[in-house]
Amino acid sequence: MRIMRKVNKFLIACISLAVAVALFSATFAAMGRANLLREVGATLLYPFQWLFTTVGESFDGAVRYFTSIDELIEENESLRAENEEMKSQLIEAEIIAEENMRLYGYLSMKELFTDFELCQATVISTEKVQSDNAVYVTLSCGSSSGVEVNMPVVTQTGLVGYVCEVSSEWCRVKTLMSSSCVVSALCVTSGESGMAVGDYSLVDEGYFRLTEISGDAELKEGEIIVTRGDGRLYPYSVPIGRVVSVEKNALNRTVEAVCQPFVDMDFSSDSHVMVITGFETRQHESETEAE
Amino acid sequence: MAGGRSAFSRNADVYAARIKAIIFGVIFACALCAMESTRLSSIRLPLLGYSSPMLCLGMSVAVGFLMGESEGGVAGLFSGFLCECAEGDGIFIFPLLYFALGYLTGLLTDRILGKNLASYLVFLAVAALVSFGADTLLTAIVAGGFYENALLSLVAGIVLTVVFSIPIYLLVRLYAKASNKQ
Repeated sequence: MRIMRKVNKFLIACISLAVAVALFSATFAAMGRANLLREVGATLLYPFQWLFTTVGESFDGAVRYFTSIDELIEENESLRAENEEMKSQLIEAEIIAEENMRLYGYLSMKELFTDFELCQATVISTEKVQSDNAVYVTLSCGSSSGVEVNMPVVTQTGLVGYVCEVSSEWCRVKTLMSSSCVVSALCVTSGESGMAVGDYSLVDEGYFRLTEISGDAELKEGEIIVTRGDGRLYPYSVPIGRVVSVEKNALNRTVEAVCQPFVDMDFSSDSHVMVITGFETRQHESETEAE
Repeated sequence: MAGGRSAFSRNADVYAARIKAIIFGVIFACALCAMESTRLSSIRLPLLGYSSPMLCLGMSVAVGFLMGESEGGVAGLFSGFLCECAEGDGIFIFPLLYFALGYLTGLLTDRILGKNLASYLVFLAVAALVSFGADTLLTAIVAGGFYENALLSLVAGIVLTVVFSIPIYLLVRLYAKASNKQ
């Protein structure tokens, strides 16, 4: 009974306030604003929650520093081993990727020239011999791989030169930049024939010359030069280079052009080339028609 | 009056004390609610499973136990509102529940048990049982059934609440002694 007499204005006010809050929340929920009151409280609590979370995480970090040191050491060692393994896998993958690219070039060439027999080779060294006015490249394949003197050497982009010296395990190639390297050539667009000749004076610029073109030829800059295939030394239609500039030779009334080879003759060691060990002889159409 | 103080200054002291009490109470309630909803939101007890202590309930019961039923009711009302905002389900039953538990604790303190820590823990255990029981029942009504290990979780909650509320009781007692409320 004494307890019942304690019912007073304060108690009624507080109960009314609590019931009002509950009713308000239900009303707001019905209006679709159920979180209005909670947002008010959450805003008040946010600084305290942030403080406790930040302090707690710092404390946890400090405790972990001392309690989990053995686990960290073990994890570090296992990660180190995994890292070493992945490094070696990466190196292996890079080697495989490089070989894949090389083989793709080889395959592309095989698909383009199905009658070619190709022998892959790696460049061992490159030398410029001024006394010969020649640029030589030494390759890693020789007679044991079926390579013989005078066989043409190419990459997937174009002509390199021809084999001038052979041993059992290596061979020497005289490149297109050499003055004594002469290739029977054909201009693809204009149909003009000429001779692609190395010019040692143009070695540093990386150019060669196209000579013996008829004086009335309409040769243009940018024209593509390919092998003519009539000398039995080089197969037909192997890309050689592109015309850079055209000039007329007033003495013999012919046209000459300076050309840029498709192949970059500054070979680094481990570059890859292909020796054409066999091909079916084909000729330019105009020659066959003439026959 | 020699050595005396005017009624105005006595009233001003009372109002100042009340404002201090309100500020202390608000900050304390916010800190406890934030701790309850962040760092102590999931504690695992062996054999009983996961639960969290109701620190705000501990504060409401401690204030009602040590400072009177009115103070306990107000503390329960405010801390219940904060708990509802932090972790509630939007029904806003916590303000009414915590108010009732804080008020009744203040009302029954001197009548049933003495004013000591053991009595406080008994009151708190009963209050926690009522509060957790109401929460579990509401969850069961909404979910259409009790979840697995509901009883074990309830017991774990009561144990955690009793254990973590001991420093709260000591802090509130310190404040009550300082403000001569006890």
